[in-house]
Amino acid sequence: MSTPDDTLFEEAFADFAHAAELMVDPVDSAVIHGRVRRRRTTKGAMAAALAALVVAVPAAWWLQESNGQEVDPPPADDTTAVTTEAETSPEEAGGGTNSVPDGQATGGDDLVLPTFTDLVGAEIELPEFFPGAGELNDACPVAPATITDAAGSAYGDGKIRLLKVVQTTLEEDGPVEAVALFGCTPGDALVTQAVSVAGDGEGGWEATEAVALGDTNEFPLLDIAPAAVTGVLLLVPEPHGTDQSGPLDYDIYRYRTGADLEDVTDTAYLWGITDLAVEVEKRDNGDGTWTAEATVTNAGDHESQAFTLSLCADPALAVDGLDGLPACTEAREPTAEYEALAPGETVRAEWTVTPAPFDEWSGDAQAGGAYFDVSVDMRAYGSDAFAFDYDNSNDYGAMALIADDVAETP
Amino acid sequence: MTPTRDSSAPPGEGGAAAQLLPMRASLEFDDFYAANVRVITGQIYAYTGDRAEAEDLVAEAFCRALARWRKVREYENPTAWVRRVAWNLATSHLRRRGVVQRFLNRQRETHEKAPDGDRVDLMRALAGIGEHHRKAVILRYMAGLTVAEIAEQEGVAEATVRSWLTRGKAALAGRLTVQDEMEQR
Repeated sequence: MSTPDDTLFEEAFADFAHAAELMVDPVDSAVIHGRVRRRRTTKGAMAAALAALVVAVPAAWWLQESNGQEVDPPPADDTTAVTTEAETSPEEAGGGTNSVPDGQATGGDDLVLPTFTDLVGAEIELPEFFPGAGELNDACPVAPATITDAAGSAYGDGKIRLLKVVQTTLEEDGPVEAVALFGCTPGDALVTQAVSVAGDGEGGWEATEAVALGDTNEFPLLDIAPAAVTGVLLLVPEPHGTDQSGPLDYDIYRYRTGADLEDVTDTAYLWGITDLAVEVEKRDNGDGTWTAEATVTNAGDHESQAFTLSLCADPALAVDGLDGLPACTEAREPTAEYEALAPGETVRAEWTVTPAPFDEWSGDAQAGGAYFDVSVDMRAYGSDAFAFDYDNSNDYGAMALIADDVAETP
Repeated sequence: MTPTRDSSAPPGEGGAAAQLLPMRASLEFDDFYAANVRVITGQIYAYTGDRAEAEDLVAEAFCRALARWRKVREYENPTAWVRRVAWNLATSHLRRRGVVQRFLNRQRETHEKAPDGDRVDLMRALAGIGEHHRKAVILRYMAGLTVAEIAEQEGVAEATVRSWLTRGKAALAGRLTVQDEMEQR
């Protein structure tokens, strides 16, 4: 089969491009302006919700290490120049978080601390999302609020969604507490509040302390994370209008019980942008099998997040050692977990793929190829760090191996 | 609790000048939008095979550009930025929805006005080739990007792009030939 020269392709595509441009019907630019005006900070909030879902998240994140080294400045009376892991661990500071059955944990003073799973489906009395705004609160009922898993929710439904739960001490020498970030979307903007939650002694849960209330205009609270020593950190992207620059601008505040919020933006330790480059190569082994090799490289200049590799494949492809690999139309399952990568560090994983005889492939696979798809899912939510898609241009975290030339193999 | 960072107004632009900037920038964005939206949407349409979907994805890309227009307009090539965002969105979208299977299914349905004649053939042929190949061919021949520019956008080596193009063109040619033969029978 010969390949036509470029001239023929250029002519064919010039006509095709012109036709396609005439066929599409883009919205007026006024619609774009309107969407951005209404959205304002919702875009950032969506990133937080995605992080809470622990679904496939962008490969590059703006991260804020919050449970490790030199996260935020030590208290004024702390004479230790360098904060160590042991010193900054909330568990250490609060006397430990011994695990208890059913996924719950006890903090100091016999507090029963909820996990994310514990709170989903629970009914909890929460502070109003719009204090003093009367009927506006009807859109986000909190007396009580029935907590919904963010994964099953849609924007604009007014449900009270659980975005994140972290454990930290809120005051010096205080017990470890659980701080939950709740969100509600009465319109097209997410409003949030962070609340300390503990067991009510009767098998349920109650809000014990209002930590922070988000305001879509003035204080668009996006995410929470444990502070290094004491307190909870609040990630607040700067409100930005239509013509202001994007979400790289943000502030980080530290909440401690009984104290004013402290702006720790300039001193908080940032991991910075981490760009994980993912490639999947295939090799024909010549014996009816193929080798798929995924290479993940930290192409950024900071340490990456921990991540998982998730696979899916066309039913025509059998993968050694993996039974029942989901099709790419289904929810994929993480198949391998990796710790953080140092800048420039690379990890590789490979699988042996055995295609079924071509005549057993589905019609779609015969026409378009059988896919073996590898996704990198950042474990942002699970790490107690802030997950902040720094410019929203990195939406890809997966590369697909397209075995469309398998059929051409003699 | 209002953040206290400095204003993002450019140096030297204060007072009334700073107040005028949003309007100026807004008009500038509108011109940028008008000049590029159809071209990029056409490319994404060719890639996804779904016109409405392409329009939504490109609108989202322009929303992101507008949200940070002060920064994007200073880029050497703002169009490339928007195109890349749109392609990333489209790629993520296709993969999340089952990649080629749904794409092919859509091609068999005729819910909307479709291109006619040779364009139908080309559209169907594009639908039948691999994702990377399809992307490379569209970027090369519809968007007019060079191999180097495609490599930069996709974050791969130029050799990889050349491989995609070679194989994509061959696959396209093969499918177009088959269709021609079938129609002649």
